[in-house]
Amino acid sequence: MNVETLIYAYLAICTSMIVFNCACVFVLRSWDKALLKSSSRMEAAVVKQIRHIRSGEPVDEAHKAFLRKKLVRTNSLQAFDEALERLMETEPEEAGAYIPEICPIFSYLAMENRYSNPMKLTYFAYVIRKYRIIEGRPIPVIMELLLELLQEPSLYCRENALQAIYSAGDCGYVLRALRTVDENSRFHHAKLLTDGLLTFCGDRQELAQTLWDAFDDFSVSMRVVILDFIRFGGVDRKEELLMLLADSSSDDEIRFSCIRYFGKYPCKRAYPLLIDFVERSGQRRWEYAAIAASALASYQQDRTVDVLKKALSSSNWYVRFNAARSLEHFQLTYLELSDVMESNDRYAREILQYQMNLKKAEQEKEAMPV
Amino acid sequence: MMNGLMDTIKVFFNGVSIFFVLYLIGYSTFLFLAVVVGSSTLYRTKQRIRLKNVLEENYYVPVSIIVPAYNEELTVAETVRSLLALDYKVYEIIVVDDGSKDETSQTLIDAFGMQPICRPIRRQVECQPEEFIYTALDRKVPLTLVRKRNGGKADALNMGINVSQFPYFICIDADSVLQYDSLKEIVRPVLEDDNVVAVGGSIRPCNGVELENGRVKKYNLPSNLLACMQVLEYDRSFLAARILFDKFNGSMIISGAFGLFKKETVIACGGYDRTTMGEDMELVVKLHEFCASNDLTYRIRYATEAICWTQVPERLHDLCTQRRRWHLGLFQSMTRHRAMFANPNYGPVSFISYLYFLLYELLSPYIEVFGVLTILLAFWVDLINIPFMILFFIIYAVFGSVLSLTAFFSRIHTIDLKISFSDGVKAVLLCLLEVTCLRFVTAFTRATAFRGYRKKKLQWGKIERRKINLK
Repeated sequence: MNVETLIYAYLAICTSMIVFNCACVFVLRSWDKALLKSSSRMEAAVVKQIRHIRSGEPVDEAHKAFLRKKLVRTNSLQAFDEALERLMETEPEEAGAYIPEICPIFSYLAMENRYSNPMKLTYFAYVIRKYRIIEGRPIPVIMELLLELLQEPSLYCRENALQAIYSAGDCGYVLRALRTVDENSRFHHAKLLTDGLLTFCGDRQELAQTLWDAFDDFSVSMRVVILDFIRFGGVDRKEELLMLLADSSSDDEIRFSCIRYFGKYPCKRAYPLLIDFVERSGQRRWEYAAIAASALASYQQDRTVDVLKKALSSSNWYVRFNAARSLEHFQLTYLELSDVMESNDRYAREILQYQMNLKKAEQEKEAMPV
Repeated sequence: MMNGLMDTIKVFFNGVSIFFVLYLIGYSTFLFLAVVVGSSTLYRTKQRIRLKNVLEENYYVPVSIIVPAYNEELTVAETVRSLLALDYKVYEIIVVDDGSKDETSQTLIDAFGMQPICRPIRRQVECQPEEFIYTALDRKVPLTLVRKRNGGKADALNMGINVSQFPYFICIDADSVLQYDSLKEIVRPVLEDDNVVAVGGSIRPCNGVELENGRVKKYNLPSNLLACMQVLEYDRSFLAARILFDKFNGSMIISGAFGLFKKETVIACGGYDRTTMGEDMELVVKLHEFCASNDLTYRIRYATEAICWTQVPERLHDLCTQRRRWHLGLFQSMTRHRAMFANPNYGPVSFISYLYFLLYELLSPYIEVFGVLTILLAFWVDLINIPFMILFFIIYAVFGSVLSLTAFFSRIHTIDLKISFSDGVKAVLLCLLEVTCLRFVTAFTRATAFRGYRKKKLQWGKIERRKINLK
């Protein structure tokens, strides 16, 4: 190949890049214009149906047929979403009454499933969740499609599908969804799962029972998610969690989650175990002592104070830090803490002093006039 | 005798021309790939956001923001104010004053009514001792000021790591401003993949931009021509290239102006190196080396939507100082971790990224200067085809300019920024100037970067600061 050919090749590349730039500008602008036009048309059509609902009439069959035909295309679904979003702001009650009327359309769309790629399916799941199409009425054909989406590689697809499933408020489907996610080798952050479960639209206690019944079938990471859901969801499972905490063969992460639970929901029978975790920290992973030292803030007793004072001399920073924070939580006087404050252990003194100063600064801040 | 010498010169020129043709083919191909991949990624991201392929709920990974500051009394309070306005719930701000000679600490103490506090520091990475610590608890999130003995930027960052409470930390420059949603965006890769140890944010020049509550209110190209050319350069060289490297876990730089790191991993590999000028690049290369040599599955990501607005130099002298510093940092990072080069244990980063940085970043100024000298020699012995040389140079300039414009307009269109017609024309004209002039100026600057190296190697690189246009 001679140099001239190379130069021509690069000139061709330059030309194609300029064409690419111009085409992109054109396509993006025409997209926006078309979307605006289409959503205005949709809005007018929906407003007409809202008027029908207001006068006690059902939504026109012709309108439903129109939606069935149009919404299989993602662009139209997007225009519909924008139109409905505007109406939800201006006429929330009427638009809210319109949505249940068009649920069968979404069953049809799920059955047809003509969205060509996962990105579009993710959008479909988003719309289902946003307008609470299946809230309190898990429509099987939609639910099955959402469960299928949990196998997709895209996190957004899985997350939107999960959110839609939670919105249905059906414990059985949530259980199936978590099983699917658990069996899937793809990473799904525990925080997304726990926070997602907390948005569940049905009975939280019933969901906790359903998940607990299948607890042993799940992997360790999913069990921790369930335990965190129980903790943050305010579900009473003290007996069961106490058994898990006492069982030394349980996985460490599961026991850590149980310790945190008993930090939030004090339990007399868990107390000796928590004390033991702090006192005999050398025999286990340091996390036991650190998390238990934090949990003991909910158990103000003389024995707790003694154990936490000893923990201030731990070789581990986190144990010392959490013990100091728990002691400060008890709001003890300087005299009650004098054995630490006047001791030779500088680390213990400093960390406790820091927590006390922090508390003092917080109190001063609260006392300040707004 | 003369014929023999002429033959030798001809053989030399022949070799040189083959080398330069190959060199330029390599560079042009890389640039082309970077811009094509970068632009298509930006358009795909726009499509993804349009179709709500996003995390709609507010998921928060707690992060500590570390702001190392040295003589930043002019900008530091504004920077902290902008950080306090970010759309994120669980974070803390730690400003580390590295023994400033001006009133950096006092400015912050006065601006935020901070109170002194005795706070024990867990020293996990080496740094100079602290002089005092102040805190402000009456803000949206905890704000801490640590004043320490001077030790350089890396040392200040290490202090920030020691003081931080959360499992991830973000480092930002004291003269930068984060976009309102930048924390959510930079944390997103961590939620997507548990193996992510670092995420680079997207750095954009803020000269000419008007920001209100972390949002762009008005976007104009800078009136200063030098800054304007850097806007184009940032889009072509940094934005596009980093997106390409991200595709194969090959990022070797996360700008010190905005990056997120997993604290545990950074501590495990010793924190920031206090003896280098390019501590940001050194840390990323070290993370590659540490994770690969310990058989850890890891990812270093680049988040295009996590935007940090920063000031670019408006004076040639400042620009040269900055580029000299970058070049020395590059040299130090690459020589310290030379064991990575062409080593299959480190994967594509050792072949593609390392080779790119070696040939087209570290050695490029010397190669370019050598090229100019060869042209002069060819003139002297009358062995140059001048029309062809001019044609070749024009093609090179047009090619570089078109790629710059493609990257620039892709960014503008995909994040819904509107620019005026005159700014569009300005971009078209200045991209030619950037490729034909600025590039050679920076090449010469980088070629002479080692002058005064010993004296300046641990000093903070300073450029003239202006107040950022915030409302």
